[in-house]
Amino acid sequence: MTAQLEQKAEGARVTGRQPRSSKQNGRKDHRGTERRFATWWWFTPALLALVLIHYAPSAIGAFFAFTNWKGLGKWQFVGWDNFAAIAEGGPTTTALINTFIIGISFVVLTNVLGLLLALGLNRTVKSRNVIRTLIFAPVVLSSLATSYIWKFIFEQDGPLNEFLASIGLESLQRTWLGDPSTVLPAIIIVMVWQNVGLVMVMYLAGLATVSPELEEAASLDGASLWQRFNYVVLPAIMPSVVIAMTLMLINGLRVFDQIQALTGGGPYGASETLAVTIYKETFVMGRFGFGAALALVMSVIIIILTVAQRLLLRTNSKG
Amino acid sequence: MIQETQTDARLESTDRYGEQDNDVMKGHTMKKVTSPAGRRFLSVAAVASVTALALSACGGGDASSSEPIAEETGPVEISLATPAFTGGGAGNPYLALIDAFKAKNPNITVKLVESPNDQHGQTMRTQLQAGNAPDIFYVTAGRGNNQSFASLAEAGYLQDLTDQKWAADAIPASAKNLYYDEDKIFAVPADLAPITELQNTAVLKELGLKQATTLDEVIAQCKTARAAGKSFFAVAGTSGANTGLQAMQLAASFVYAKDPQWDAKRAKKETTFADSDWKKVLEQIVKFKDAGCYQDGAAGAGFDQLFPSVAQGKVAAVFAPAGAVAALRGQVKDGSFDVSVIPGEKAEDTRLIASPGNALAVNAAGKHKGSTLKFLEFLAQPANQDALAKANGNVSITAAVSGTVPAQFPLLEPFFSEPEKKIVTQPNYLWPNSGVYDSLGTGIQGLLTGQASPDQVLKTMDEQYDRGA
Repeated sequence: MTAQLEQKAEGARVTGRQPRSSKQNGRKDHRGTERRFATWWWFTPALLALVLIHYAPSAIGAFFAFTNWKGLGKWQFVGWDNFAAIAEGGPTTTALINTFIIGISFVVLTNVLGLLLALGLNRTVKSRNVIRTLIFAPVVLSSLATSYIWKFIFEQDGPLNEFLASIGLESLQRTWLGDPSTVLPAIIIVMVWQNVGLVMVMYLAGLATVSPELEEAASLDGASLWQRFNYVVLPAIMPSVVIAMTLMLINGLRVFDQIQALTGGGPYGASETLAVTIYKETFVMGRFGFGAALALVMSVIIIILTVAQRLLLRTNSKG
Repeated sequence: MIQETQTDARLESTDRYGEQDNDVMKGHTMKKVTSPAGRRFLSVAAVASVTALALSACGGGDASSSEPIAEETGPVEISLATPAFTGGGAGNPYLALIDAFKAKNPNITVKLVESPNDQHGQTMRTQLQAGNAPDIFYVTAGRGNNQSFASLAEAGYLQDLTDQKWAADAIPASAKNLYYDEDKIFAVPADLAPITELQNTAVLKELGLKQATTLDEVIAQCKTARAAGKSFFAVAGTSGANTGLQAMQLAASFVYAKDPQWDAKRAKKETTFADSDWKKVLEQIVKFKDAGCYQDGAAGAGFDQLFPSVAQGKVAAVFAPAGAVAALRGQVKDGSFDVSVIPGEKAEDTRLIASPGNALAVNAAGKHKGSTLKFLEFLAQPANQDALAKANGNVSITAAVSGTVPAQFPLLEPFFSEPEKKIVTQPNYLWPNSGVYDSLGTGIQGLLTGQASPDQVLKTMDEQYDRGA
């Protein structure tokens, strides 16, 4: 019966193609050309816009990485000198280390907290829609504006220190953003606070695809909570895991807004990341060539880490 | 007269860009390409070249700068760009002068455009490269920050004012080193902003303190203020511009009182920051920190916290350009504020930093240069400079040159009465790039947190200095 249906369907498909194949070759070619032309015609403006707005400026930026341009006037080719200066280390090394610390902490914390929130708010909690909205709200706010609010919270006589004093913890009071030992954790808290809602939504979307019957079946078979999560839920939401981790890694490595608003990379470079260094070298120091080289290095680092992460997650999901 | 000047400028401009083109083409040879792949490459290259040409059109002083300057009699609108004025009162000080100019020149309308204070320099650079810069705009003297005129002039973006007699007349003899670039003039000074210690005199009175005459006295006063639950100084550790002001004031007595030509020596590599009295400057900041002179959390404080803290009487003083006191006096009616100078190690070493650093320059690619030059000439007249200085709370150049003591700054009397001996040029105007001052400001934050030593900061400043213009 199934075979008959397949045969009928195949026949219908073949029959459907029949009139087209009976056309004269020249006319068919003409229509094909027309179709191809139409495809390219519609595609070209988008392609042109993409190339002119995105790729051409990026390529020109990459070109200046091999020059000593100062943002104005003449420039000369300096070959790999800018990259050699980056490799020499100094402030760039500190920025690179900070970038990794922030990037990795951000991926881990947003994903762990986002997943926990999604699991907690998936089905059972009353008023979960209100709570989800509240947790997601920071995502839609301007990162610059929220960073300035957090800067106020972290100030010496700001609400955080006042709160600590009110509960008798004066010993914990400090200049959160002016202390090299607390500045990175403070920045990471702000970043995670702002983005965890987005990750939660991604995981909620993934959890919506997990069949409750499947979980119930596993439960009836005696699977523990962890086993149900590990063997039933996690494999089902793996696409969400991949997307969330990839996006958060990219966002974490290229972070600029929050750091610029909170600390400007300080104190004394303690929170400077590659993106902040690029800004300072380019627009404060007027070393556009060096800044372009650093931007190129940062792009390559992000591409390598993102591809490595995707490969790792793909291997794990297959395993 | 104007037309002749401009013709010369055009010839010079052509030579300059001709030379640049040659530099770019050096080492490149053209080859005939016949293969399909080669033709494809050539097509792509041609498109890229057209794109590059289109982009390069935005990338340098353009040919319009060489067009003759003509007297404009019909209705004309020109634009003036300045950093946003935050002093309150009647608003941007240029507004009154624009009205006065319009009354004398009814056909010329000047449109004022403000940009955020910390972004003005970059905004002008971007607009000059894009070809949509204002006709006339605010710059600072020398080349030590990203608002400085010198690098813009070198890139061909500024109108050469050398042959305008009124421009040369507007530059005081003592400030020639700030405005003459290879015997040419590209900017005209507007007024003079002394770098001072802005004091809440009510707090000083409450603490029973008088004006300190030595740094040891300042340290003692810091301890008095601490004991009363206040701080003597507030600094914005996160703002290099603010911490740098303090260092320059200290350098006025430590470095420039002994050697007013120190910067000239540094330029000739006869000295370095690390091997000079600049070390004492940074060591003094560490002494201030250890004596509790700064407010709690100074390292992480922002610029926005400074003025409220002095206005509310939480601290006795902040470091700021003298003109800022006008805003405080205007906004806190029942307050009592004045400006003073941080003393030297010895009273006789005390110096005031005051340079005619605020200036205006004309866009070489502007479309209405005749009218723009007329407006700048109007602003450069001594009476109008006086009016501008009065409106923005700064010191008039004519007053400074004649040794007249500005009425609004009585405590600065000893300096303006002997300007040649007791006033020094703002050092960072003479430094070759903005990185030196940035390293100084950032380094002081490192001193406040204990992350850096004076030697480390000075080494970084020397490295930045040696990078050149």
